[in-house]
Amino acid sequence: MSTSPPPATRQRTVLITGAAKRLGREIALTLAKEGWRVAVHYRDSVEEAAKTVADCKKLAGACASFRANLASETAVRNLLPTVIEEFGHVDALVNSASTFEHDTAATFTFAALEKHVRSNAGAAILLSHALFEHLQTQGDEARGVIVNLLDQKLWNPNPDFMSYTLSKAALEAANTMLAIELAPRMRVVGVAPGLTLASHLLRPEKFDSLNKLSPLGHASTAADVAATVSFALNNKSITGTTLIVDGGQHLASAA
Amino acid sequence: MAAKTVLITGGAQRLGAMLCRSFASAGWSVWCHYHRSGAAAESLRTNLAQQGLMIHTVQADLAIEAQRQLMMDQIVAQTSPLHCLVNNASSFEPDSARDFDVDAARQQLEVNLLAPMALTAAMARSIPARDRSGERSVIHVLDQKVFNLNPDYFSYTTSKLALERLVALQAQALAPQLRVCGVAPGLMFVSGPQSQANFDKASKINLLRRPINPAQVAASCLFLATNPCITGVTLTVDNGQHLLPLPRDVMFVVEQQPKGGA
Repeated sequence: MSTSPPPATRQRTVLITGAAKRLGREIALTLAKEGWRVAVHYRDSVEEAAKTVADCKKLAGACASFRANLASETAVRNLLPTVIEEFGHVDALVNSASTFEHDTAATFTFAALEKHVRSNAGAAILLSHALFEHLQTQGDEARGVIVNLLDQKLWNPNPDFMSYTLSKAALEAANTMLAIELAPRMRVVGVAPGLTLASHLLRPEKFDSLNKLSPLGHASTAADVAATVSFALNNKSITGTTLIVDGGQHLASAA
Repeated sequence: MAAKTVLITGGAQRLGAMLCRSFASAGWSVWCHYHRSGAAAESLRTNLAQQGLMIHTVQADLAIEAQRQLMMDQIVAQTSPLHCLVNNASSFEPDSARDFDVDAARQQLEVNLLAPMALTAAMARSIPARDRSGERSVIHVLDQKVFNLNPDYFSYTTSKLALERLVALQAQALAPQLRVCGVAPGLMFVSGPQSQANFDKASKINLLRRPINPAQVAASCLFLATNPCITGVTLTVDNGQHLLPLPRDVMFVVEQQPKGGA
């Protein structure tokens, strides 16, 4: 059996949730390009996850995908141990996976709230602590970092997506609390994008017109958000705070 | 393409010198402003030149409007309209809510608040109205204490609180030509009446329990100057100092700790 090299020289490993598609995929590719080994988590997007893994492998050499339903506590608790089994060690976690379904106060249900809070906040907290416990086994000097993907709308609220927004508000509070609880071993940083990609709820034409409403004339691009995640992972003086990357969207009232 | 131009106020020493070094290393054309630190500015210029990094130095009293405008005119005439302005110069004088000298408070507001307002306005006037690339930015250097108040250095703190709100206000007013961001560091250098021994203790009073590396603060400014999607926000770069509330400035909290303790 080979012994693992000291933490300073060994290749860094990051687990990214929801990395098969969209923003999570962009973050995976950016970090792979920088030499990270990437653990690609996904739920149902089998083919897209395989594609992200193949693309990351061309850039970094080591990448693997891991399937888990983040709404299931058991599945969440099993996720990091599986990643550690594959890679030997993990240094960083990017909580990017998001459940995003529409409701308002008028259509709100406990079931919708629970569904969003479980995967968008609960999973992030369990995974963060699992990484902390893992790093404790890696020696006194082992350090780690967590990035939580939030949403500019926490600083610019509107009444749509009630359950989703509450789950992101919970994650923003957890970002601060985890930064305090897991220090000095871990840093915890939030990254809050604005409108970045069209979605199943937002057609491309509508996306384009909304995008132009941001003060800078464009909200965030996936590449700029991914660059911000990379910056947060690398800058060792930042913890317990959030960086909003949204073309100034949070400064303007929603039109 | 010509190098992008940055003006760093209070650039001769401490964080300012680190900012000059970081931007120059990243290929920027750097203007290092100084007021009284002419010798330090010259020695920084020589030192960087030895490493192949050329910077310009420019002298101005930031408390005087005519000198602020003259400096901006001189930079635009000699190079080009700025791509980035880092308002780093700060006046930091002890006073209190009960007992502050109005003239001294006015002087700090002039340097810490009105100078950033005036320099930003001059920059905004000098750049093309059509420019909306997200390439041009203003970065105000704040202090983590704007998110973690204590009443020491009362006028200084007041000026930084106003400057923190100015980030969002200018970002609204000057988009899309200019992005405006803040960087809020914690304790990085021996400050005011502080002794080295006091600094050695105080600099570890943060979540990560180690001194803040000024190079990481400079790297944060460089990142904000580069990322075209970020405006109207302040990044706290303080090893988590803002999450440790203290009743007084950290340097006085250290003084009050019992001698011979753990």
